[in-house]
Amino acid sequence: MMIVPIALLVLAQTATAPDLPPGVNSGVVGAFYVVETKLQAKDFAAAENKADLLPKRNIKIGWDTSAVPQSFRNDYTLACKKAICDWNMAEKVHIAIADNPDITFSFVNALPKEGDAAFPAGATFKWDDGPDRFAVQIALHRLETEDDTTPADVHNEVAYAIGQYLGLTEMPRFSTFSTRTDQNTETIIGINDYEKTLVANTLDSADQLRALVASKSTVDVHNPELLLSTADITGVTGTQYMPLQISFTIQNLGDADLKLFVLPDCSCLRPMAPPLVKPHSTATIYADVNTADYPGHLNHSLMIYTNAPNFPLAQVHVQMDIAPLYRFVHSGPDGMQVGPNGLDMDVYLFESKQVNIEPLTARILGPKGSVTFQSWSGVLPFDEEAKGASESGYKFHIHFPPSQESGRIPATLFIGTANESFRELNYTFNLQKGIVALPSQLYLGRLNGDKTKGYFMVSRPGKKFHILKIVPMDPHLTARVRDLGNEDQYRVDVAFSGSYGLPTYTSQIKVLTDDPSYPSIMVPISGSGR
Amino acid sequence: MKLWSLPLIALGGYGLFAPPAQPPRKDVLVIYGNVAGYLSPCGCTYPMSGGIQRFGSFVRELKGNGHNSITLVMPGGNVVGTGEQNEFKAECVAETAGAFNAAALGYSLEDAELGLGPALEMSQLSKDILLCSSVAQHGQYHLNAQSSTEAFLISSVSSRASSLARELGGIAVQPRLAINPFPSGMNGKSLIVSFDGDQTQAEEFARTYPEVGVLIYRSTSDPPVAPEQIGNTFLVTPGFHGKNVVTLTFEDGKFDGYNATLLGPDFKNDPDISAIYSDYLHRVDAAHLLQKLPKLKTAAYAGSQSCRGCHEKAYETWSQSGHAHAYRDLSAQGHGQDPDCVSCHVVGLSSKFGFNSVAHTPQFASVGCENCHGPGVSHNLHPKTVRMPRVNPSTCVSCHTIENSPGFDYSTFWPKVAH
Repeated sequence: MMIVPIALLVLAQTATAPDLPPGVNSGVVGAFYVVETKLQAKDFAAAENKADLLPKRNIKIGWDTSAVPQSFRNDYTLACKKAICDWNMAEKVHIAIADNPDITFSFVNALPKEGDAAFPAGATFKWDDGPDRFAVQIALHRLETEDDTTPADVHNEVAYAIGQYLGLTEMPRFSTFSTRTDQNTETIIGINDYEKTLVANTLDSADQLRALVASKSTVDVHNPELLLSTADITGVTGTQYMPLQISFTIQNLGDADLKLFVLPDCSCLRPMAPPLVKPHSTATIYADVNTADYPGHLNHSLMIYTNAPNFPLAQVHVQMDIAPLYRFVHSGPDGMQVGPNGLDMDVYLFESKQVNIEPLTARILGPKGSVTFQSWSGVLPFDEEAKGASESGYKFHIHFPPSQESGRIPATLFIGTANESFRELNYTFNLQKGIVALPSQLYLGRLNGDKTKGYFMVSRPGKKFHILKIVPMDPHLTARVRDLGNEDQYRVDVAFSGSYGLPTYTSQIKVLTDDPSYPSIMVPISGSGR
Repeated sequence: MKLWSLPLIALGGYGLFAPPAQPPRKDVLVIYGNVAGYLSPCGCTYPMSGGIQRFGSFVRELKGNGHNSITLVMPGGNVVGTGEQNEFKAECVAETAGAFNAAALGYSLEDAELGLGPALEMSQLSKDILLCSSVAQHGQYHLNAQSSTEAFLISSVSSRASSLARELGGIAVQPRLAINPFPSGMNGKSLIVSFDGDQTQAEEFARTYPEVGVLIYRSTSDPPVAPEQIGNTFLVTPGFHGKNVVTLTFEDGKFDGYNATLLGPDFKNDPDISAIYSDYLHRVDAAHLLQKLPKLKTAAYAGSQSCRGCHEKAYETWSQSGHAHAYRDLSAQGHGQDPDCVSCHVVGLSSKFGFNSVAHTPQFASVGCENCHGPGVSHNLHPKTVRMPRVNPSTCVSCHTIENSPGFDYSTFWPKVAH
């Protein structure tokens, strides 16, 4: 009987197509697919022909600088050689400038904008099934200002192009060999570990496939196929500091393992995904949300890199609203006045319903002050966020004695709580003692020799005083006072003559008042020269 | 009239010197702001993004591209908190706006908490384009309510107008009036509103006031890939911490060409804005802000040298790490006196027993053992009875945050300091 040996022979010649790692770009995925389908159809001649499209370890670069002005030619070629050297050092590849190239580089004066791009293209990259597998055109001038393309730009474009040829998918945020920019740059980019691993695995798979082509093996082509349950996750709500997780499912409709990894575009999301999904199976991708550092409305994405030919890169948009866990509200404006009897003020703490933050202790850091507190509920007319609704929380009554230093004084309400997760809360605000100038020093900005002006306020809210005289301490300055109506707040208009030769300008203005407790206030004045 | 001009006028009469047909006007609206105190791209590791200096080069690039009709709107949210450093920051942002002849600098409640004096100073430095449309002011001080360009009317409206009025001592203005007090004076211009509110509040606002062409809201997220549109109103945000610039084109009464650009390392620093930023750093240095920080009574710090006797190998690893010269590196970048940065580059800045200055406490001028393990004097004195706490990856992220250390990965970084 000859049936069994023939069956064994058929089995021996039928192989499984090699796996590609997730995150390989569609140009390379497409090349693998074409070769594998030819092998499956036993069209070995076509498979051999198409195998030339697979990324190789010996890569020949075509380097045409005929359009480059002589003055740039050498620098550009050195930049290209550096990029080649970077790749040769990073990977088991041998890349060299040679005839019959796999990647061709040429130059044109400028390139047009592509689609809605912000800037004209700095380079174009085209896959081809012909002898020029990957053709790159680099613009000699960038941006609409037609700035000269720098050698760093050339290095980065060459490094990026080789990476594309070897399977890297373009990633956002210009920084490594998977990324590029149309703008001018002096920054030489480098390769990262992920890129090295992806290229190494892709080349291994290409070697395996070429071996199958050489041995005229028939392959069973199996491909994963990605189906996302959603591309948009909306309406997610949570509370600051509280655990929050989002999830969505992916299905592998194909007949090969779906490999994947997931990257967020922001540290507010920490994804967790299985490394692979079996054929005809479903998996759930989770992402923890960093609610602690990102309260408010969040609008971000998860990028899913896969080995599925139909979706090498998929994106899921996530919109979330994270409510603050607690907030402080205090009566009156910042900088309330410490009077002859000191200052009494209230600070309110409102917490989210998701948490119980019971204050145990409260004290003031900074100026002298005492605090008492109690639970509180009611309507705070000045709390705009409550929109007139009743609230409940804690009220901290703070008394600052009159014996404070003069000026604007930062104070911190420091609260110790019974909550293990939030042992300490603090809230900083300002007091004001006596007559104060704000800003604390007047800055005139960059001085270019012209006349300029500036303002500062002199105030003591709620208690009248008069400014007797303004004395500029330098002849370049003049000043005059404007009463803003209530005799407790004045605007001082300062004019600077401009004729000043030193690189920086510093002086002072003395404000004399009728209050014997605060007879004079010195206000520093400064400016920077060109 | 000069005699030589007569033949030209005569020829012009025959149409030979008639002005060429004007191409349709195209305005570019540039939106950058909500920097929340992040004037420079903060960070220890590449690639950081954002910063007013890179924003400067973006604007200069745009102008160089022949876009002369650029309207620059910088929504508020310039600072978080009060005090001298925040005053300096607010003034630095205002001066940046003035340097580029911005059309509007928005004003948020956080900005207003600095006080009226700093507001006037910001207005002056920004060349009077600080807008506060939600508060009617009395007396002789004045912040502008609206600014106008050939194509746009711009206002700065707050979702917290009463609180804003309380800070400034004025009266809250109804949103309809704040958007545009003179609707008859539109003359075909589009209304741009810098809105001190989040996306949800902005959506409600856009539905209530459909006459707004572009509503710029505040967000802690990056700008979306495409703008949201409610009716004819575009809702856009420059995102958070000044990392992105958003542009829109305006042609034939319509907005289009939305683009959100990340200010990554490919943007160089603009020399003019760098000078302004450098002035800011000098002011921070001169104000001795580090020495004015409140100090807490904590357990006492010993300094890394004290650990060496028993932990020689760990000390060697540390001394060869970037941590050992973290403060020196920071100083070399001009931030050695910057309270925003120093706390992560020295030991115990907030403690009475920690870093004060290089002159007085050189033993604490680096990221040392006690940054992660806590104050060590007690352990130093009683090593067997007082044990130092073990640390875990969460200890690192108190400094290696996404803002300071983009791309921080414990598994990659830990081997550099493993001991």
